[in-house]
Amino acid sequence: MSTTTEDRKRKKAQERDSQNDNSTKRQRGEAASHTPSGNIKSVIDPSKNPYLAHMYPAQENEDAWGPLAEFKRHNTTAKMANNAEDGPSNPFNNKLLSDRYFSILEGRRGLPVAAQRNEFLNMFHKSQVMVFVGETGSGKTTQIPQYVLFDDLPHLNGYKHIACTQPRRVAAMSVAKRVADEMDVELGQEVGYSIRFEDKTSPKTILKYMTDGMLLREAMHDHDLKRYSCIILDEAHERTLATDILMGLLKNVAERRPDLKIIIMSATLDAQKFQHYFNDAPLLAVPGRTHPVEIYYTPEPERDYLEAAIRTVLQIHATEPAGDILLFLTGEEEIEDACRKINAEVDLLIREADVGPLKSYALYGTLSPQQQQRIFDPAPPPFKPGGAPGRKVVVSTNIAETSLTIDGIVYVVDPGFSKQKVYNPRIRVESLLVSPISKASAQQRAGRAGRTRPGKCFRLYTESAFKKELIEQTYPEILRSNLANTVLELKKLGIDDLVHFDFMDPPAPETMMRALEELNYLACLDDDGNLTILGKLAAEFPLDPALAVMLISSPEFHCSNEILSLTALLSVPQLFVRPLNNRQRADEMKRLFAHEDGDHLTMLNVYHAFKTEKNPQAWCREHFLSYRALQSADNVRGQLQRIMERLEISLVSTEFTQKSYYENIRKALISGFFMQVAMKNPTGKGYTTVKDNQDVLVHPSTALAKEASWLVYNEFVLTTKNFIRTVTHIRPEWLLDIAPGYYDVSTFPKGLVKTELEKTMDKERKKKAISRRR
Amino acid sequence: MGLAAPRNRTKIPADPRNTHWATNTTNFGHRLLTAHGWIPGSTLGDTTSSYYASGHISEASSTGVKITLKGNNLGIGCKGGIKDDECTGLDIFQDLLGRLNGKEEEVEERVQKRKMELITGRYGMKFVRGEMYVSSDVDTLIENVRKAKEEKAEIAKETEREERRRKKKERKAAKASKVEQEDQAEESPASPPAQELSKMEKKEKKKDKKSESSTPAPTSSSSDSESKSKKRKRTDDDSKKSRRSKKDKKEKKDKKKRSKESSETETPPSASDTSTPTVLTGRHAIRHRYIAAKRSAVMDTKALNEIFMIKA
Repeated sequence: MSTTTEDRKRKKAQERDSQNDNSTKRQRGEAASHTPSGNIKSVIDPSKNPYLAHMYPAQENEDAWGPLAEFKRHNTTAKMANNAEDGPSNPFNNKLLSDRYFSILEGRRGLPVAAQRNEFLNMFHKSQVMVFVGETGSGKTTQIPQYVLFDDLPHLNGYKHIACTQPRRVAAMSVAKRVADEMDVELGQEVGYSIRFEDKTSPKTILKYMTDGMLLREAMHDHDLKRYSCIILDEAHERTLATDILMGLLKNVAERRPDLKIIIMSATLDAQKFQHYFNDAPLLAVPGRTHPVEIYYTPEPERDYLEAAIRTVLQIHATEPAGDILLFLTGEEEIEDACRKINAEVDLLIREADVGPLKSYALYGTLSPQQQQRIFDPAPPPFKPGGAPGRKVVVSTNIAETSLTIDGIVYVVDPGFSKQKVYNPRIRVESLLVSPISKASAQQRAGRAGRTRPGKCFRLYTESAFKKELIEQTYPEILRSNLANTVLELKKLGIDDLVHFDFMDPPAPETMMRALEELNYLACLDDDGNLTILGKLAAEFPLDPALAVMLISSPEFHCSNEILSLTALLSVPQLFVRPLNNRQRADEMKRLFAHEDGDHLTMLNVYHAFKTEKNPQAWCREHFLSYRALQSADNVRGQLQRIMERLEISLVSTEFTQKSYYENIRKALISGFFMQVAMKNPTGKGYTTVKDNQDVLVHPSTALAKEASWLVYNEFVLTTKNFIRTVTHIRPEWLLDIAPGYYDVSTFPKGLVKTELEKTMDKERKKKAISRRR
Repeated sequence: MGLAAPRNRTKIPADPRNTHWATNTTNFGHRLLTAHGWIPGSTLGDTTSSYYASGHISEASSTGVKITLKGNNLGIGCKGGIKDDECTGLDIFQDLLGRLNGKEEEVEERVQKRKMELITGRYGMKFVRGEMYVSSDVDTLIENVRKAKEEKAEIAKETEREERRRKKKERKAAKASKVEQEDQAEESPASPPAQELSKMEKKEKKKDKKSESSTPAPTSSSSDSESKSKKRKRTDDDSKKSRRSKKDKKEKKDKKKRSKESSETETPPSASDTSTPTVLTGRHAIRHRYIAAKRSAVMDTKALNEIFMIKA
């Protein structure tokens, strides 16, 4: 069948040729030399030569899809698609393909998925939903969407998009860039990406990489996702909150829209769960390109995994043949600590024994991109030619587990822990806690050792611990998060019955209850559980409901400009840098900005100073501030401002010289965070959270200089002690005034908070009485 | 660790689990969920679906994820607590004790070997060889899928024989195509075939055995340690035979063994060889050694000199 199409194509091209002017023959010859193989002889059409584009204005439009002219939607084969890919002109924009394209194409044909293109297409034609399993390195993220593109043929289908979701923004950006190169188009034209706060697409876009959160946002306004003809959920095994909601949603949409195709892509073996969930959807598996990895366990449990990890790294360095090491640890502090210890020990080892150099690199999420890039530096060479090999050790959080691939890793050291988010709905704490990883994670980590050649994985626990103490799969995010935002999104998606929504893993009822309750107190949901006007507005912001509500109600307090800045500052990582070797100086610098009433106002001071600075980068370094965080806060602020303008929320400020300037901001804080308030214990130190009655301490990093009896806090952090972080001093009468629903004293349990609130009420009543008498 | 250990005083607040909230059935969330048909105690989600029935939903969907706060660096599976026979800080006196025990040559040898030990034994990490992680195990996945499908097909046959004949036909056709695809997937050159792998493993084992004499570092396999313990047993038997005739010798040998052990397990708290044939354990062993050392110290002038810091 394909041969006949090919013949037809050729014939057509010849016809076209004969019609054309003979004078272009020379040009054609030149163009032909670009093609890699001889099988496309005379298909080159001068009208497709970009240099002659001006001569054929009409024709270009008419025959814009030359190589795909004979294709029928959902009826193509791999051979046909390969032919179309072979050029010489780009089927999607009709430009002549570059040399670079062909060199990339060669590599693409060698990917494991390429061998199964036909099988993929067959399954794709037959089913609406399919599950695709391919390990990292199989090429699924870059290739499958293109395969779909050559089969779905958007030009025959009203230019409907193909969407491919990614859990991370960086991945969406970098993959889109890569695919644009592979297709020899400009990024943002035929291939684009869309992430929170950045949209790089155009009307021409037919393939769009996006974060799963973005697709969810689009679904809020377009419940049937009519813009798309095929949706690919990539990295579904990571089970992010947005991917989980999308899967539930798509399951419904698929029934309403039989023309919508859905592909679930996963890198791990729990694919059967996806299959069952999507009513026994067919599954296609493509092997990855990994080498076997030998796994080693310790004979006995380790008493100090950090120390054991460092010793293992050194031992590998001293005894094993060349190859880089990847060590998994839990957090920034631990990683920096480990790097320091390894460096010290290696210096000793080099002096005492004849070993090669060992360079250690830290890798964690809050590092700047340049610093992250350093992990790709090659390992150091041996001290002298022919000497013991040099190597590098990358000490990383679990971001190197799936999302980041470092070539050259041969040894993996796995202590078996990672920091995982967990949410306790009873005391309303979402925190990152160190906990044992799952078996699936452990296998992923081991697999990292076999990327370049057969490797070894050293697990710092016993084999029986692996079998007995580790859970099978990592819990999906939906079971570990506060769902207030998700519930708001679901409501906006038009889902009213949250009890029977088809979750892949239903969240715990208590978590759901808390989310509903919070939204009700925030007045985003009315008493029947329907979205209020405020709720609809809040859902427009890609923010936590509390932040969104605070932002929306800030004009009432005449400080929406400031609250906007503050919201942006609260949605980026830590502003203040506190390097281990320079803590004192950093604290001194922080004191320059400190406001006695608390951290929110201190952050605002920092931002205002940052905005007036001419050379912000140097200024940030000098003042121990994170330039990156401030810059992204500034960026976020701009985006939020645009949303506010669209929603016609006015931007106002109180005159800075007025006494009420800071007071207004503090009041506005309460409008969103009245559920995060703590009262000082009259006896002893520490605070008690309102309603939930948890004993907490103010985080030592605070700038608060006053003895404050009431505090509003941004975060409840769970470590060995319970801390509240980013606090600001407030007055109890404001609480009663701004959030009377929540501070209905009759609903409070007996205790100090209740009596204090009653006292405040009495005082207020007396004040009013006095003022009335006057 | 007895009275000397730092006391951890923790004050448990009135309601750390906030049961006040959890047991309150009048809050908005509880009311709304029950209004939508949720029965307290059940999980959310589409509980009528076959997906739900197939057991993919974990316990955490009803109770939430529970994580215990980890405030230490204990590895996985380590329960903590302090072993009472562990005596820290003795390694510094190894040389001295060795000499006191009359093991002059051995000490010298060890000093010579120190450089070697630096590389192999210094970090004291021992590992046991586990299974092999091979590619993505796509083959097993496909196998599982097929098995599941076959099972399901059987059940389906039993239940749906009479009714929905048409539907069954459709499904069968789909199945057939699936199986076909899987077959192809299986044939594709995914990873080195199992046979080759096992060969590789064997080879490696051989290698390990060869290099047994030099202290195996992280690569020490299970077979390796096994053979080691065998060796130890042999020496043990030997000593048993000669027990009656040469009591003194046996004592010496024991000591030798012990000192060897202690040098082997210098740093690692984990790497304690439990298979060693010492009769005395814990405090008694140390005490025994101490007494023996003391006794011999009086006999050995060089050791005495060392103790009294007299330069000979």
